[in-house]
Amino acid sequence: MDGSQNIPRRELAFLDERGGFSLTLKRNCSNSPAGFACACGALAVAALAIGTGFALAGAWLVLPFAGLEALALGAAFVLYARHAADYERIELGAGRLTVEVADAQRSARYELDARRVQVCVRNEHGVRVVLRGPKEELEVGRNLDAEARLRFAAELDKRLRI
Amino acid sequence: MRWITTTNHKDIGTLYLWFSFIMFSVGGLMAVGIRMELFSPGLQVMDPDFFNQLTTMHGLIMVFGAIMPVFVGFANWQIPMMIGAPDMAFARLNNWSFWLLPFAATLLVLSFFMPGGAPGVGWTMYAPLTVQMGIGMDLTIFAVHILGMSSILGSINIITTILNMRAPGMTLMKMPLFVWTWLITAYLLVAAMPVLAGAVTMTLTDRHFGTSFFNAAGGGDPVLYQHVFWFFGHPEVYIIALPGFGVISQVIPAFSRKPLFGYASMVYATSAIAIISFIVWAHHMYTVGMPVTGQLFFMYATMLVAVPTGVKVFNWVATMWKGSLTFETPMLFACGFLFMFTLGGFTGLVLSLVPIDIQVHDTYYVVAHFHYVMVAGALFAAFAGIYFWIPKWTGHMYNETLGKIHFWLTLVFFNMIFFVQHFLGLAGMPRRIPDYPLMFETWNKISSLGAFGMGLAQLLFLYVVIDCIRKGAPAPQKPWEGADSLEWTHLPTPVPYHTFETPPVVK
Ligand SMILES: [Cu+2]
Repeated sequence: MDGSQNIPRRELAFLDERGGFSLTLKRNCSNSPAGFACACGALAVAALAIGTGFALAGAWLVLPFAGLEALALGAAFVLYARHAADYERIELGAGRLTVEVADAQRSARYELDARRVQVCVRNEHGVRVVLRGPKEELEVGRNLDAEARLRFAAELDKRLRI
Repeated sequence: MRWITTTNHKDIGTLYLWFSFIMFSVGGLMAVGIRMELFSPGLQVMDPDFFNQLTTMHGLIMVFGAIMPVFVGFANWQIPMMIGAPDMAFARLNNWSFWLLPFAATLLVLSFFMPGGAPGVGWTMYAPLTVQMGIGMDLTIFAVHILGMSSILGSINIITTILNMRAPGMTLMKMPLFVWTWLITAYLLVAAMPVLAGAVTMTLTDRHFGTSFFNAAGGGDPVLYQHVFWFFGHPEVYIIALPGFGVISQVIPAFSRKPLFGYASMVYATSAIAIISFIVWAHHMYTVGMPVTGQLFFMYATMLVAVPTGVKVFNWVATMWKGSLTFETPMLFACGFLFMFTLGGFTGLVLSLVPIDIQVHDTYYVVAHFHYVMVAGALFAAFAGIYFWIPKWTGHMYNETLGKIHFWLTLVFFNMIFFVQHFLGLAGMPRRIPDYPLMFETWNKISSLGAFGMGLAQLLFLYVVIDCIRKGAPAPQKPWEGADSLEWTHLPTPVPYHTFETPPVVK
């Protein structure tokens, strides 16, 4: 899409040429959930402290608004931090393809038979990469943008057929 | 339809900017009405009550409808591009934050058509006058609630974006100063806005639900309202000014072809201004009768603001020192800002002194002071920012000659309006009056003529912008030689609809 952007791409670091590989895909997050919690918490405490101060001075209707705002800050934290640590780890070794997906609080581990897995690229609501086994389907590459997903799918496909 | 449902930060930025221009025009027309009435002594154009309604709405609309949204527009356009993020953290929330604004603005304007008209209480909405107003007051209170909600949602979004979505390598101390000033502004908004919401809610319950927070008739305390309002009101000044400082901190280095002098001290000075802004509020109310200790505390605290502000002015000048300067329109506005804002800062220092303030409290000296801060400070910074980034946004260059003419006209007319108001204030002319003694006539005539000129000059600005969008010459990726933030170095002109879906790596 933005091929015109002259941006150094993050390399998809497939390990050695021949054998297996291990790949971890994370979203870009410049702050840890704990760090963000501190920022939101400090703000909420400041707003509540100001509200309490006014309540003591008789103007208690500031406090409910500070409370509402603290809730909004909390919601922002939950919404953001839930997915801040999402990752997908894809490992190939000894004929097995292992996919570990952490999404919000849940983390799941899937084992697939590498010889019977197909890599499909679908074009519904943007590009999606799906691993199709005999019984199950598994979406991967959700933390990549469209262009990187295509390159990822091509490379994965190549590796699986070695 | 695209514009109603859009969640793209660039679209929403554009919406904010146009909304702000519309409100700037509405508020500007009100100012022209005010200056028409004040052109001559005596009452000629309107009755005094309507005059009060105009001053009130002019203030509210300019502060909440024009100046704050213009900088939120900048934030939406620039912050994701400057930190290498694909969009704002909460894109749908961003859309809601914007669409609350036209709704609130409609309520404000509608209040003119209510029985009793718009509230004529001044933008500060002091009790107990607010208790006596008609239904227009309730619309205004509701509008302020909505505006506050929009600001809070917007700030939470900005904080989340800046803290969490920076590109790899974009550490906090590498962020462009514009981003820093917005981070601090968002903190200020989150801390101050509930106080405003509380203040107007208590006004509402005093009016309709039998409480007596501020109504002395029921045992309440009108001075408490002033404390509550100004606890919000003074940080609000910096909410308006800080993003402007940020814009100036991008523009001056670009046209000096030098990095910003004293980057770290700029960050610390901005934070210091933000913190001090919470302990100076009572300098707006020296005359309500407070203990001398209180007056002294607020006087010294207020004078303290001059230290970090002085650091900033020094750094801007030092950035220009021995730089290879050119004076395109953005730089002209930045220099105009530097001179005029500093003047406004100095009169602020004068007003911080209790013995002087007691003399000039509620006179045109105060009006002159805060217009130097709001217009020559914030508005000039906004113009600087628009001329600076419009090539990036539209892909076209604006007409440089017309831009320069716009600057000079604005500068001259601005000083014509407001410089003379210092004299009026020192001579004792009170603010918020539609009539005045004959001795004030000359300066008022000059001021009014300046206001009409200033209004016309902004039509030229509108023409320059439309001309730039329609048929400006194509702009290169980096039209300003010294500009060095990511949007200039990494993105083509005009910027694509989606940028930085893969974050750049910042070294
Ligand atoms: Cu103040």
